Amino acid sequence: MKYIHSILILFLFASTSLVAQNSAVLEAISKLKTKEFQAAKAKIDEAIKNETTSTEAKTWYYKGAIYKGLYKEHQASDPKSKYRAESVQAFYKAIELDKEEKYTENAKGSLKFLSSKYYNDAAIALQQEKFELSKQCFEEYKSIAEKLSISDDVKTKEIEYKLVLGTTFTNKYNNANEVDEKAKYLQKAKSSFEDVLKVEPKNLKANYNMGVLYYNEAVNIIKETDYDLDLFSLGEVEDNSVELFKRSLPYMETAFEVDPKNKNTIEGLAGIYDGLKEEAKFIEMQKKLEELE
Amino acid sequence: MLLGLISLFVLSGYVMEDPNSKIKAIFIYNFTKYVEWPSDYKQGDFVIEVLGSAPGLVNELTSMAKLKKAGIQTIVIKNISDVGDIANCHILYIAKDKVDAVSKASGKCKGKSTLIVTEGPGIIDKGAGISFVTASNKQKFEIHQGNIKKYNLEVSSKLLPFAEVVK
Repeated sequence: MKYIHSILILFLFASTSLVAQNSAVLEAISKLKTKEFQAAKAKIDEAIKNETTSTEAKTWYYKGAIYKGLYKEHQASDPKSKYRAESVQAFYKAIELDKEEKYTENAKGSLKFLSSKYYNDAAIALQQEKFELSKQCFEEYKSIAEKLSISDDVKTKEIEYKLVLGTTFTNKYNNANEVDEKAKYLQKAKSSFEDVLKVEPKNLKANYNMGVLYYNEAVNIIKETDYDLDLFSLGEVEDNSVELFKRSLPYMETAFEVDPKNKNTIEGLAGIYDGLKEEAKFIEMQKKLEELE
Repeated sequence: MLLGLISLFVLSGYVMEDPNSKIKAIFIYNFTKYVEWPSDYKQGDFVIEVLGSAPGLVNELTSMAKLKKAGIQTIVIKNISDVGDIANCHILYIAKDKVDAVSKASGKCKGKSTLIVTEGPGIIDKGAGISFVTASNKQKFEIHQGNIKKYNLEVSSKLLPFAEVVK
């Protein structure tokens, strides 16, 4: 009899504890509904620490929702928001635990929303020339989008982002005065356009810009040469510029192949053929330009 | 709502350049060092006349003239359109559109000390001293020592190794 009594007390204690913990989740939900996010956070953090409720998809889903609320209310303009980062991780965990798929659809919806915020922050940081921050935000966007299997969207956005990044670095390169600074931005610009070409090898803008970058490099070597350079050294300058014109050529040819009526690419090709002293091809491009006008 | 980035995108600044004219200008400046003019040509301005249409080269030579001298002489660039306009110049550059006039121009320079430079393979056989040609995507030149000496000019042997063809 005494033994049964002990079991009963133990059972009651366990049930009470479970109820208490479930009640922490319920209270968190209640506070979330009234947008009392800090109070909701205290309750859901409590539930997360509990061995039982921390294994439930529901707990993690609401943690994600509460932290998302906190992010929107307090850190919406902070690209390094910790609430947003925690919200993302909580939604991932909710999806992982949600065998019955009760929360998965909503969690994915919230993740999509948060990923769009990362993308926007990447764009804003890029406009402010905070390149490292922009890259971090973009990588967060990409990571979420890939986990959500919206690969088409990721591909489009990655191309769009890297093109803008490449163009921004190109402008920095064009405006830089120091040699080291110029070299740094040139490399970054090329790397950004190359990233686009890895995703879409026939991308018109990336091919065109790569062609222009190499063309400008080739031309600049000659432009910067002193008039009284000796002929032996001039030969070396020409070797270097010819090498760069040759590197430029396949990119511009691809751009031309993609859009044969594009005035920019025809001009670009004409310039490269002129640099390579391929007169017949240069004249052919000049004729194409005249036909367009 | 995703912010649009497309509006930020512009094609990188591409400006049609004329790198070959700069290279030719450097060659021409080197010719002023490797060719010896008679003493009476070593005073006053060093005149380079460009016959025909070569706006890129005229621009480059004009830029060069602002920065460099031929020995102690100030370099002056003149662009002329007719063989009849050829005056007493140190170098006469005959542009591609006037290559047919090389023989006539060399006749016009008879008795003067003018280095005739033009462009195209084989043109040195028509009276030019030096003619620009291209080989392996690079700017080269052909040289005709006899045509140069004919105008009382001395060409340094140091220039010859750089020539594609020496006659």
